[in-house]
Amino acid sequence: MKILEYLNDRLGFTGRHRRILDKPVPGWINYYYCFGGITFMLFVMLLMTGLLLSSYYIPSESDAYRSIQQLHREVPLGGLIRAAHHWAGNLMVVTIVLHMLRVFVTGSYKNPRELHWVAGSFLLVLTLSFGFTGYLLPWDQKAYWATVIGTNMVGSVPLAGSFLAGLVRGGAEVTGATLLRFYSMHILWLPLSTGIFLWLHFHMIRRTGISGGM
Amino acid sequence: MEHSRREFIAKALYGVFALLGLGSLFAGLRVLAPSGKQDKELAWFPLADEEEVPRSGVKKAELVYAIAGKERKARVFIVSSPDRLTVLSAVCSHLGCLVNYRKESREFVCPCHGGKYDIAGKNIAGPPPIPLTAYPVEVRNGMVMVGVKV
Repeated sequence: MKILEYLNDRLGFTGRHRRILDKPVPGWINYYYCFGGITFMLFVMLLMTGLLLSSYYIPSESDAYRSIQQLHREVPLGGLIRAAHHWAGNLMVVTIVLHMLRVFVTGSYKNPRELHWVAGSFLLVLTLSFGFTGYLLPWDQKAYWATVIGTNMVGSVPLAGSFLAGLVRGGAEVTGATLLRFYSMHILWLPLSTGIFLWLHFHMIRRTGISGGM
Repeated sequence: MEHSRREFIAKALYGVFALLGLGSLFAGLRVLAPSGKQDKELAWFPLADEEEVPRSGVKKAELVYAIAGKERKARVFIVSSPDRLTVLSAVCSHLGCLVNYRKESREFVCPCHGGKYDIAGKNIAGPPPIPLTAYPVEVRNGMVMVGVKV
C-alpha cells in the first residue's frame, strides 16, 4: 500500500487517528456514560439523511408539500430516509436529556469542567432550534400552525417582541419567506454553529478527561 | 493472550463499521439515483363529443380514465371560445375542494375558502397558490381527447 504510506507521510493521519479514536477510557465506566456518544451518532445520522433529503426538498410555498409527497412516491427508500431523519431528530432530544441527567447526577459539570456544561447548554438550545425549524419544513397544516404559535410566543417577549417575531418570520405573518428562512437556519446556520460548539465540547473533554464519577 | 484478543475485537469492530458504511453508501446511492418515474407518458382518454361542447362557454364534465387498469374519475370544466378549447381540473389548488363556475362573473369559485380563478384558470383571489391544472387537449375524429399522465 504505497499510496497509503505516501499519504500518511504527507498528512500524518495514523497519528491523529490513534490519538482521537484509540483513546483508552477508565475501567470503571458504565453505559450511563454512553449517552453523549449516542447523541453524536444521531447527529451524524441526521447529517447524512439530511444531505440526502436536501437533494429532493424544495423550500418554496407552492412546492414544499408537493416535493415531500414526491419523495415518498417516486424516490426509492425516500420514505425510509425521511423517517430516519424524523426519528433520529426526536431521539436526539431524549438522549441529550439522559446525557445531562448523568452529568448532573455525577456532578461532572463542576470545576474544571464548567465550560463543558456551558457549551453543552448551547448545544441543547441549538438542537431544539433544529427541531423547531425542521418542524415547519413539511409545510402542512400542523407545521404551519405550530410555527404560527411558536413565533407568536416569540412576539410576546417584552419590548422587543414584535421586532424579534418579525426577525424570525421574515415578515408580519408566517409565509413563504418564513419557510425559506427556517430552511436556511435548518441546513446552514444551525449546523455551522453546532459544529463549532461540538468541537469545543469534544476538545475540552479530551483536555480534562472524563470526570472520576461519584 | 490479552493482546491478540484486543486485536481481534478491534478488527471485528472495523469490519462491522465497514459493513455499515457500505450499506449506508448503497442506500445513499439508491436514493440519489434518478428513478425515471418522473417522465411519465401521456395517455389520451375521450372526454366528450365535439358536438356537445358549446362554441363559447363553460361546460362541466366528468373525465373517466384508467391508471394501471384501475378506472378513475376526475371532475373537469371544458372552457371553449371560438378559437380555443381548454380543459381545466375542477380541483382547487389550495386544499383540493371542487370549484364551481359562476356564470355572472365568469369566475371559478371554491366553496371551501372562497378561492377564485378567472376563466383561464388563473388564481385571482383567496388562498389558492397556483392556477387550476390545465389538461393537454386534442380534438380527434370529432372527439375531445384529454391527455393524462399515467
